[in-house]
Amino acid sequence: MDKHTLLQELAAIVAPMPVLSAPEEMLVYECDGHTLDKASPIAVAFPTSTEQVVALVKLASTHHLPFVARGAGTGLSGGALALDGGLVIEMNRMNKILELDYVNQRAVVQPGLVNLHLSLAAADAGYYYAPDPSSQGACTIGGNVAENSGGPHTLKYGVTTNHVLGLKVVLPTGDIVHLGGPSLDTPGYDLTGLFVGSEGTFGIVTEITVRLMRKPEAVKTILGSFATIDDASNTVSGIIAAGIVPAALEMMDNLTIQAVEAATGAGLPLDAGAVLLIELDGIAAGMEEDAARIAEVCNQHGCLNVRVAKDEAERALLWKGRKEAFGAIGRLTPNYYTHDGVIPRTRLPEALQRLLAISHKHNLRIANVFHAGDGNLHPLVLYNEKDADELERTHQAGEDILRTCVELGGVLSGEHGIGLEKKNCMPWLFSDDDLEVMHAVRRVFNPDNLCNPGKVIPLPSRCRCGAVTHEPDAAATQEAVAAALKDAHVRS
Amino acid sequence: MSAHDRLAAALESVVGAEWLLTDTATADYAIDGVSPRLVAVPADEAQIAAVLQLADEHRMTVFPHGGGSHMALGNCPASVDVVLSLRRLQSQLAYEPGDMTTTVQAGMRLADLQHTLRPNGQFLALDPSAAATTTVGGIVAANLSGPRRLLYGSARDLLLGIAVMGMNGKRTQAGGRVVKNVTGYDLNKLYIGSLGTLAVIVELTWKVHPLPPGELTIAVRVTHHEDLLPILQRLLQMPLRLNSLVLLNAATVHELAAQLDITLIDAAYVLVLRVEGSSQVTSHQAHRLSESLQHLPLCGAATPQTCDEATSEPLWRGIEELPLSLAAAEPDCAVSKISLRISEVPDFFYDMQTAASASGVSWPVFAHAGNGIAYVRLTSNGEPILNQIRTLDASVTRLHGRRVIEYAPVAVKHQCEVWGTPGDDFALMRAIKTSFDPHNRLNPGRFIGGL
Repeated sequence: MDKHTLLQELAAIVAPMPVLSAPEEMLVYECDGHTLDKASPIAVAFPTSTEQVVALVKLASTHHLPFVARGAGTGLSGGALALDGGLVIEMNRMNKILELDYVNQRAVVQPGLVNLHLSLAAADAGYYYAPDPSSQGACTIGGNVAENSGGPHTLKYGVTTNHVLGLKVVLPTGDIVHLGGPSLDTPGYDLTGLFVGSEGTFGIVTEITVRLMRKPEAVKTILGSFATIDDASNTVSGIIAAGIVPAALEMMDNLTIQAVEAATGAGLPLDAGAVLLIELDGIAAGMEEDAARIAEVCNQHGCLNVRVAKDEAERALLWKGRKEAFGAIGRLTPNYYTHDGVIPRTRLPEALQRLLAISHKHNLRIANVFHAGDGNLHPLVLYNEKDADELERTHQAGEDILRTCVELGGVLSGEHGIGLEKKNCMPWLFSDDDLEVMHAVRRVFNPDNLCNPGKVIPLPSRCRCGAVTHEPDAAATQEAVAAALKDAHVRS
Repeated sequence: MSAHDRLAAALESVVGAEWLLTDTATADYAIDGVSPRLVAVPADEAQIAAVLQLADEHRMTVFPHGGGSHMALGNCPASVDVVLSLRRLQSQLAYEPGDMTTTVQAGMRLADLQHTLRPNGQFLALDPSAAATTTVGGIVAANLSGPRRLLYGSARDLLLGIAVMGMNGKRTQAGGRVVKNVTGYDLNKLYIGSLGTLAVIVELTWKVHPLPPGELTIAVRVTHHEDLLPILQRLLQMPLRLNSLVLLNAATVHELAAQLDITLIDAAYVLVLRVEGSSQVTSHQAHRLSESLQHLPLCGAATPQTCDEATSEPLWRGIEELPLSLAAAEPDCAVSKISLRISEVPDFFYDMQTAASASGVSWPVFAHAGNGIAYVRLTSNGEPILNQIRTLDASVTRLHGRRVIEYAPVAVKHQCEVWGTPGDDFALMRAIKTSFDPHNRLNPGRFIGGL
């Protein structure tokens, strides 16, 4: 079918909403927040109802046209890229709150709703939606479902999957299914849990039932300044060891402090090697005691200064600095590459030392601003895309960073997703058999692989590319199985 | 030599004669009255893989078995070739208190795991029935939870990584050993509650929590049904560090008091709640609670009373056990778990009590009222239990809930949909089962829709 006919058919489905296809219009859609990879879609359609999504999916299927749902395009792993000139189904016009049910602590929303808008809508009633990615003023809840997004407060409250109860999904076949529901423990396999974090490869969500939480009675935000990143890391371990789980426990290193201070003027100490932003929330009773214990732990680890936000304005300013840190880094560099590896908390000092070594090795600046409480690193590699050599070194540094995380017993991504960006690293963590199980599950939902192809898992033939490391335990088990079976066959 | 004899010989050479039960020795492992032909108790993962591969080659069915405490859950099996017991896989493979994570083999009992964590002031925040015998693998397979779920969530909020063995004997894993992870599809969620129909769970990595500095239990006597919803709403809106909130009807209170041999307050309804914090913080919460209830406009009385440890300790143990103890006390009954929205919980109590009165009986009903998970024990006065299940189903449908019959006599289970009617996502579930277990040999027929 020629492009002209396709565009007419698309326009007929979504009218009066537009269908974009001009080359200059496609520039916005050729990448998401991961700017190192680009691919131009054939067209972008803006559905306004589940029925229109069904029609778009069926049309794409008829023409064997790959398609991908897109929210705000803030993703950081290339998940929303339309590879192979596919169709982008832009969900941001489906942005309504369908139900706010405070008695049952639930909301039903459309996927294009901006994350923060839900919390704002529920605020007067005293409720909020807990997962709070730093991009929450722009990113959509549908995108959060696809990526299983986190945020600073997920240390205490969990990530997106812990707050999603039910989904209405348009499958790649065009069928509509309802996963989960308004109550817990729907009998059968937990397809809601399986779907969240499937990075747009299982279908397109058109309605989401989420949990609303009661706003905490009290909040206390503490900024601890440290001479070295080591002192700050040890403080993180000390707080955990004291049996305190703060609502958030964030770290920023000196490079980040410089950038954030220039951008926000929050009064961060420019001479500190690192700061910790620690937040307690919950009931007011006992909070002073917990804050005092945290201050004590900070002081035990050579803290230079403990600052407690005295009011909501000061608290908001400190958080503005943290949440806009990525943007602030833009003051220091034309481009930066964000990583998202996770390591066990106790390996934090070692991990940060190794990041420093990687920075020296590749002669690149690396800024660290991350969720220290759950070991979720965000090293930002500063580079200039016009410098080909620097770009190449940036890629190498990125690979070194991810390998470091895996070597320390961690994983490739804590909240940004694998997408296009890291799929070829999956064999570092998973065997061919592990990946085949993931392929098999994807085939159940997405048999023709038209729904966001080329993401999350490398093609089976690709599993052997690069430096494949097999889990030593698995190899040993296989050998032992072979021996046991041989024995069994001989004797039976 | 019969097919079973041939398999027995092959299995014996894998696990050794001592760890293969045959003939009458398998009776203890009967599932819904069906004795398995063979029970294999492998020593390690390699032996599990070999047992699975051999069963597959011999076209035999395999039923994974943990502590055996919750084996009544599920449809009756048609026949049972091999029960695969995980009870020799009990090791803790890793525990780093500073990371608040631990990796254990699936056959480890929950109580044993808690014992290793407690010296470090930590615990796995799961409190299902039969904590002393139930295994962590069983908890995952059956998605068991208890009262503390209100604050800490269930297995889906605590499980970080998993390793399973497929029917083909291949070991695969998903997730990881860190507390936050989106690396690959979240297959942890798929295995939780899959009742051993997809693969045999062999290893689990859990997120653990610090033990609370203290707890306080408060029982609230409620005299009028119409007061339940406003009280529940108030409790859920108040700033409390509430880890459990359980609503009991009078029949449940009586049964608990008799079982535990303790005196419990007598009322139409009792709300038992548990708050966390230092002793100062918990008494502050208790004070606030009673003040708040005093100011609530109610039809009847809502009297809070703090419980001393001599009462609260056995009381919570008794509440945790209820899903099993209700059935054990009255074999000719059906015990159902019902998932509801919080606001429907009082209506559900009303429906059940009305139906019980109409039949001239009294049904224990209780609910994790902050989660909307309710339980009822249905009995009858001579009528078939199946009729009572129909009454239950009518109420559940009216309230837009879902239900599972967790216990019923075998004859009754054969005649009802144990898991209720599947939804429009059942085709996906069937396709997943077929993809994992194409010859339908793992726990066949026991799960929803006969999967």
